[in-house]
Amino acid sequence: MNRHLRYVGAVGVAGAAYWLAAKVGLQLAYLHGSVAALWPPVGVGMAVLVLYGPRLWPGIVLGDLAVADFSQPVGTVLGQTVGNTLEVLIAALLFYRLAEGRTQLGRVRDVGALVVAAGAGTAVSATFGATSLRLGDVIPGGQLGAVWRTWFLGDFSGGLVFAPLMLCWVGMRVDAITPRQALEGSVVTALIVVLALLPSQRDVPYVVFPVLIWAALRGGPRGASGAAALVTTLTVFNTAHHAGPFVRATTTQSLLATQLFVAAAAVTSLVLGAVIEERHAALEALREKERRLRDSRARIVKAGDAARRRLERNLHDGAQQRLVSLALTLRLARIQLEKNPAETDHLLIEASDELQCAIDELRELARGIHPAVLADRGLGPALEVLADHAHLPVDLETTYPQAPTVDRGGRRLLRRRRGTDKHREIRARDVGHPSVGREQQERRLACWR
Amino acid sequence: MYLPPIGQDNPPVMSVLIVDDHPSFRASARRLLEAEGFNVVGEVADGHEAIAAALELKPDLVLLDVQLPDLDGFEVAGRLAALGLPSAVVLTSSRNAAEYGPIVAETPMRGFVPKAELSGAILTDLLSL
Repeated sequence: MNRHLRYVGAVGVAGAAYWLAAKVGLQLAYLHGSVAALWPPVGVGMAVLVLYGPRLWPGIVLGDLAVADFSQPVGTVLGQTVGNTLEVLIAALLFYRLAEGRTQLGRVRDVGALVVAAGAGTAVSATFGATSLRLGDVIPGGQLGAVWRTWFLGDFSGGLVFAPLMLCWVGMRVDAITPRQALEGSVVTALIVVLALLPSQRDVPYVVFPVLIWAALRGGPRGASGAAALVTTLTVFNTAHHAGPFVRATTTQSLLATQLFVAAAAVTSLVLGAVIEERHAALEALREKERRLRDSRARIVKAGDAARRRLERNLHDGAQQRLVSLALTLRLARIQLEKNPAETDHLLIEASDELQCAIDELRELARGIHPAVLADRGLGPALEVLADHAHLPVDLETTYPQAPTVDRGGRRLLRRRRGTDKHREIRARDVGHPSVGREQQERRLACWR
Repeated sequence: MYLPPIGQDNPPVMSVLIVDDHPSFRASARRLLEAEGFNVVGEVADGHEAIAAALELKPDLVLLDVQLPDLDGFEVAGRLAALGLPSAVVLTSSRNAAEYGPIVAETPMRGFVPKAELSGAILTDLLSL
């Protein structure tokens, strides 16, 4: 029940927004409100459906009927309302699809999507509207083409100006604006108003372009859409009051001149704003990549340091200890050569064995830190060799349902496979050394293959 | 900790406690020093055991490895000196003394012997200083 109520409320709000935009549009209309050079409801309705979903389309119907001219035949009114609703719905759906759901106009492609979508929707509305007027005999047959063009350009301009304004500004957090940005925005706004309204500037409409460019450069799509909406609204308002550079001999000519300016100013600003936004996004992506590269480099350095420490430790605990023992054994042999020559032979054999062990360990170390037997014969034999060479006596008992191959045994152990495979285990009983009085203990080594 | 039987014939002049976490070094050092007339009274594998054994055995000499699993040899030497034990401390390591920097000179000990150069004669010289 609440969901339905929320929907009805949302439709009502959408209709109210459309109606309010239409009221503003009528203030900008020429010929005592009968012809609109810039029709804001198209942009507002389009943005509402893009932002809050196309299912709010009944709000467009209600808003359009609320501002309809019921002095015309009912069929004409309904025909225009159907066209206006389809216009907004088609434009919103097409824009959302072409812009791939990116509604902030942050890419040139998105601005292109807006132009195409607004153009397509507006063509439908102009066709419905002009035909309805003609069929209701509101306009003579000779004006059909001019009415279609004026309708199209007015709605198209309304879509280009007011849809971006809403898409970029609705939902913006006011507290995210810095005082400096607020000051700069105020200066841009004041400059636009002064340039648009100063009588001496009215013959040179292009003087506003540097300010439009400034707004787009500094504010991206948001600055561009805001500045373009302000400039075009003031221009249309001036022309409607027979002032400014776009006042021509006939209303039709004035409309055309104004609408072309509005479209040119809006598209130019939005494209520049999108380019700026793309540049910011590219810079941000570059910074992110640089940060990742830095992190990656730090990880590599750290891993290298750890590997060197491990290597040093392996050398210290392995071959170096054996060589130290060898040195001491040879020194002892020299002593025994004088005192007890019979013992010397035994010591020399022991020294030779110790030297061979040191050579073997260095060979294994050189072959990629892990024992060569692991790659040659697999995990079980590697553990047996390890146990044979340990300083403590070790009884090793391995259990394998099948002999592991090189790849499936050793390498997988080294890679620390995740526990998705069948779990197997190897047991090693560490007997301990009597001279250091260690208790017999059982050590369980687990591996995954 | 390993304690040998008491009451041997021809007791050696110097009693030694060997502190090293590598059993192979302890075994080799024991054989060499005993062949050169020292009495090895104990072997331990870490710093805390070393302090306990030194307090109990009061050896003439503690042959102390620098790299131990808990305390390092410098720390153990400092604690032994602070306890006022009469034992002389000789540090030993697979590395040279220069690799450890000034801490070697600052540590209260009789001397430093690289492991590969260990001999009874060197220890005797150091103890006679």
